Amino acid sequence: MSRPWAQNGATLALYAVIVCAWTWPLVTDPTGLSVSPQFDAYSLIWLLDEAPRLGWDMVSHGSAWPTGHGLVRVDSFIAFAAATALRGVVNPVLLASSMALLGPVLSAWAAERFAAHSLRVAWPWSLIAGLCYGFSGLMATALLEGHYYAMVTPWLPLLAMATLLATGPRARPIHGVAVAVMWTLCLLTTAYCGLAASLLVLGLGARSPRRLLRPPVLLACGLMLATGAGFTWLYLRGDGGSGDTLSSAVTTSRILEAGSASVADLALVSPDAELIGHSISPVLGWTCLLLFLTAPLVWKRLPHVRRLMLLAVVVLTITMGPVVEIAGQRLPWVLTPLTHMDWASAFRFPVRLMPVAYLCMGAIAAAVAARLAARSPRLAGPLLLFAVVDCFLGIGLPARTARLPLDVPSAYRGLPPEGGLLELLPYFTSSDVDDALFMRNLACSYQRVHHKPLTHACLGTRVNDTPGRALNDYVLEGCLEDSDGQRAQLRQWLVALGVSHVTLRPLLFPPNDREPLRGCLSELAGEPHATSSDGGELLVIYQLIEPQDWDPSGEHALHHAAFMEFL
Amino acid sequence: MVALRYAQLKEHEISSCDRTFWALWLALTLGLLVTPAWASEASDPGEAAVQQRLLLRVVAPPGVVLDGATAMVERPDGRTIPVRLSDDGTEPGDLSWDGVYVGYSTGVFARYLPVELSVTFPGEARMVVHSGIERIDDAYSAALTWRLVELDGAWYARRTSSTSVGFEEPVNELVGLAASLSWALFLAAYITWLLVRRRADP
Repeated sequence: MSRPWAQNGATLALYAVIVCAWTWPLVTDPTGLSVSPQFDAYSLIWLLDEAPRLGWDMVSHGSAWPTGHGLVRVDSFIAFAAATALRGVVNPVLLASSMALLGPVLSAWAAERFAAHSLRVAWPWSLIAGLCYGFSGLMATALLEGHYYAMVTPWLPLLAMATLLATGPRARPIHGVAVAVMWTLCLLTTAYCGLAASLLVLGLGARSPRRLLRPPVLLACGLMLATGAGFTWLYLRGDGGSGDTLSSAVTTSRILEAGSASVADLALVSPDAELIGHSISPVLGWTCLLLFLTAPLVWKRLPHVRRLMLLAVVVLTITMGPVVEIAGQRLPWVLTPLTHMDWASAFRFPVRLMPVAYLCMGAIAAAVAARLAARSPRLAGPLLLFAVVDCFLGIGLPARTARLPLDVPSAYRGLPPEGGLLELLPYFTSSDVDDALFMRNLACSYQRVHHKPLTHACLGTRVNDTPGRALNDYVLEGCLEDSDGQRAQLRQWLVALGVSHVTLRPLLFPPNDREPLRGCLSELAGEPHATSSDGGELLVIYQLIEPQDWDPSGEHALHHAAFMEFL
Repeated sequence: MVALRYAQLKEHEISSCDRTFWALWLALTLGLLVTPAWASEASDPGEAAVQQRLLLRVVAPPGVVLDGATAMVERPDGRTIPVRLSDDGTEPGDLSWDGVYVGYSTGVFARYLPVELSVTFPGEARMVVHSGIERIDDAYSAALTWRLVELDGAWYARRTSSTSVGFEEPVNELVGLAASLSWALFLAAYITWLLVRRRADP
């Protein structure tokens, strides 16, 4: 075996072993287990299942029944495309798990190549770049929050590599095309990754005007502008999506603060990281950080190192958000001006720009390690081991992973696919929005088995003011309060809207409401159609329309009209 | 001459490495995923009889002693299990009289559970301090911890981190911080040593 093959094989093997340990026990059951303690893995599974059924209009008819739900503001087009391309070949749960298992390996490998190619770092020291980038604190956050698509980001190191080539002395048009392609892939992975990619291009591409006005750079700029314009047009076409309506600087400031890195977070994962519905832990490995800080002492003749250092510091500064707390003192920080702009609350997670800092710091750390090892590789050898230890020590994986079976409750099995399904959920106050998202996402993820369209919209964070929620609340009010004879009209409305089944989760409701709800639904639909207590939930499903009574011809338009009237 | 030859070899090695990188990468991303056997879910839904063990803890403020604490836990199979939380060291893992009341609940796997917490202060009637739905993030074992808080004369329980409470709290926080800083110091010393050696080397 030639040396490059052996080196690449060893690189791959090392990263594969680390990812298995990191995401443990995901590799033991990638088709039936979630290791994410938060709730977005469920909506990802729903999306991966639904994506292949969508047309060019990107309207999901499996969600927000009967009107349908436009998905042009989907988080990740890459996940979307992967699900569509692998339709019928890979099931959605395995596809999600594959992203979590392959993503860090590919990303780390690309970062390792970036260090080797662009900074001329010799193997095995280039491995440090991959360890810092592919197994970073933010990658762990993506794993624990269930944003597995955000773990597939080899595009960013490849973009860095292409940008340096396109702006370098031996630039060719193909390098410009590579920049545009990698930037587009970043943008399609997540909007934050696209933003990070833009920063990276600006930071690494800033050269003298003479060098910038050359065909490769102009080509890259033209292609990126065209893609960016297309993406923006698509985004603006989509309905309201995720933004919360914010009215004050205090709210904007609070949102930005919650999504920013703090000084303490950079050193060690907080014990409270998993408590608030997110798992933000942008830990910087000490090995990477200390080697990075050593760079000025050894950076003579290291290519690109000053620009990478500056970019890392700038991005790290931005990710700290609007306020920095040091020794109990809250100090205004670089994003403070944004807190006075309402629109800035859309930039909810400044911390998600961190991959640029990890990439730059990792590449520099690898270059410094190689420099330190130049004369005595054996003495510097432990640095590699320390970088591996850092992937686990401060970040806290795999101790933070969950073991949640993705079994679908048996009550859903055997439901006829005709007609809509109303998942009756309690009202969650704005402070419980994470609980509302958890329940909504979980219910949507079961659709991969029963294939019934759901009245709730399965994507977006505005869970309390959607049409599906209005129908849910109308049924709850009718059953529990029965004001203005609402209950008498419930069945009529539900049938007119084409809702054939209603699911009740009794344990979600206060004990006093459970019997009235059961009684009301029995009154509407007779005895429960199915009941189950497996899969981690107690479920009771009521059937409003018998399958033999379902007439598919022209029904959908009628349901749609009825829904408009209902609203 | 030797240095030049070494640099040329490195250059060649790096560009060959790039080609193999792309080849392996394509093989990995495309090849591994296309396996028809993976088109369906492997696990048999609903069949796994997972037993879930919950550690329930209530942390009383310093100086506050409770006569007792109880958690009522409702499982998906319809069973409502009262769990007595004690601080006398009889429960596994409980340090006696540290102000942390501990109990365990074992039952069928639940993704979320209604939990009602009640406490009894000496000479007073039992009072409910929390009632709500708790998300459980592990099918096998999880810890739920609440901290008793007094606000305007009323007591309620607020969810808190489960990693360190009671006597362990300052110790654990200190240990975490100390371990992180010690690791950083060790690394800093090691890197400094490498730097010094490099400069000292002729």
